Amino acid sequence: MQATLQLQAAAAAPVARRTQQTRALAGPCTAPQQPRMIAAKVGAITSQRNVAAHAKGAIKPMEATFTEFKLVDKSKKQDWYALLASAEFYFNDAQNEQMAENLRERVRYLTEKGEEVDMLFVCEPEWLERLFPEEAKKIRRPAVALLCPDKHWMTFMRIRLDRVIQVQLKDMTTEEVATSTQPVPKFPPPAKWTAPYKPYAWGWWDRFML
Amino acid sequence: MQATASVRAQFLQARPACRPAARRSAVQPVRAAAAQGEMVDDMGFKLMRKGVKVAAKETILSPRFYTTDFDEVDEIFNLEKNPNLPMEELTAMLEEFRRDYNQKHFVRNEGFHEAADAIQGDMRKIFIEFLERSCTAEFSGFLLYKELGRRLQKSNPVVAEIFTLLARDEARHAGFINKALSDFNLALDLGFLTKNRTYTFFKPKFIIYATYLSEKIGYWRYISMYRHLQRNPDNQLYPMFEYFENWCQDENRHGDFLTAVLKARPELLKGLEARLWSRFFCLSVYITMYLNDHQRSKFYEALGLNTTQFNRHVILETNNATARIFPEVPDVEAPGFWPAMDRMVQYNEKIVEIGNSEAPEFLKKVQQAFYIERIIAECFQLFVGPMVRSGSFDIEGAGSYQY
Repeated sequence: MQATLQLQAAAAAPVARRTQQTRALAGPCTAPQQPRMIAAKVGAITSQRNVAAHAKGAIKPMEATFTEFKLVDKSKKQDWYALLASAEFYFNDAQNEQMAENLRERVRYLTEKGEEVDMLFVCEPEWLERLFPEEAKKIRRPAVALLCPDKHWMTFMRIRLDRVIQVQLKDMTTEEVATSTQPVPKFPPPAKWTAPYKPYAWGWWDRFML
Repeated sequence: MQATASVRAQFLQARPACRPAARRSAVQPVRAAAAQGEMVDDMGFKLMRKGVKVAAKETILSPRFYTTDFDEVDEIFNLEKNPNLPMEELTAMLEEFRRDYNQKHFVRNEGFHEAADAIQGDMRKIFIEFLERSCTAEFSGFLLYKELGRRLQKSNPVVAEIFTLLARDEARHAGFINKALSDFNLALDLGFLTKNRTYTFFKPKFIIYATYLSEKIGYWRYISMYRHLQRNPDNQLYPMFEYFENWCQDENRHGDFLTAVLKARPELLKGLEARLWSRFFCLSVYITMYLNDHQRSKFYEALGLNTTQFNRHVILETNNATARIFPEVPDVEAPGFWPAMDRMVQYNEKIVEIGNSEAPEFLKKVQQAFYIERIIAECFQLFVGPMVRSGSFDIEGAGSYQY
């Protein structure tokens, strides 16, 4: 049943699209009858594809809609919070793709307010083994840290992600906390991808790396 | 055509009201309903007055309005009675809501009216139903949160302000959808609904479980539709979908607030009773959505989605999110889970089919009872089926987990 329906829909799609294109090209002058009446008569299944021209392609890919921004100054010294987990957890997990949306939203908000963008990702941070040897043992490698000096926001992220270890880095420059010893690996294609959409393009996190 | 409908409607309204004694079925041909003295638009939707739609009949699967025991809520959050209530996470959530990321987001573009005109035929009807359900659900959230915010003002100002800010978001969403409905020449009279709809009573802790789930499932629904449409612009048939990404970030954050609430009152997460309730609420929310969406499969197909795949993904990810806080969640990847859900869809289809048939009312009830019993039996099977122990590491401890 399901399969038949889909097949029908798939077959109807290109036809409907063509019809619509012709209608758009023809315009009101070549169609003497009232165009709206025509649309109404199409009715039923095919009218589903009667997409208003403006709506087409209105949703741009996420990667293309990040607001331009400059990361926090390299030499700025401050206290940081870090959430530690594996690179796999942050960047190759359907559940955590919401991070991309979340960060994008926050970037937009901060730039609108004229505030600094101070969220950073660091893959295998230089300080991990040196400062947190115990925590480092509990993390699948390569490890990734999400860093930000905003305590409230990091508490909120920890509520959401839960499966992360929170640590604090006092009085360190952006450059110091962001020193990475390894790039983010290319992940093998996900074994079980259940979503009706594709994953966000690999590397969306690069803009948060120094 | 529009004009004719409203003229006809006015004419019919002027007649003495002759309410039909008994309805043969919920879905009636337009003419039949109109003949009995009700205002009906050209799609067959009943009208309260011109351009204002009579809300759809409530069923067990439709969005509800909730009320609760507000004194008991006060007991939960009152800072004088609970001086040790951990407020750190709740305060952090308040800061997040105060930022109001989407303050400027819900501004309509010019496309709405034109797009509404372009949606015709069966699809128009399905679309209006979708908008109505979404609007009712958002508005229901607004009413509940607003009241909670009002009642907690003195006893816990932080939580009160958060509830008020959640109400702000929900009101924005509901208003946005209702404005969209007006492009279809139909809007809901939300003031009338507030006064006249039945409110379902839930104990506060059930409100917390249920709203957590509905916020999270709302996020996964909207983001999945949005991301699908991002890759399939040909199916982008209505500009409202463009707003879904930012929109659902609100829903997701609301869910996180309820996570913070649950963590502040860990007794809601500990023990056998909490586990059974977690199970119960997860399953009810998943089953309700699965049946509802399959009943409206055409809508999702029109967007180019496969209803089953879409639903399974939404449930799977909502379950993954929920596993970060609820002490127990159903194992949706267990072998029997989806077949059981699919059988319920079939039983539900039968029930709807019988409801729409011409058979006498009592016979319908008898015929439907058989399938209702089957659904209850399936629900019970799932309830005692495989579960996964889960929960926040702050409550359950991380053990030897490899992060």
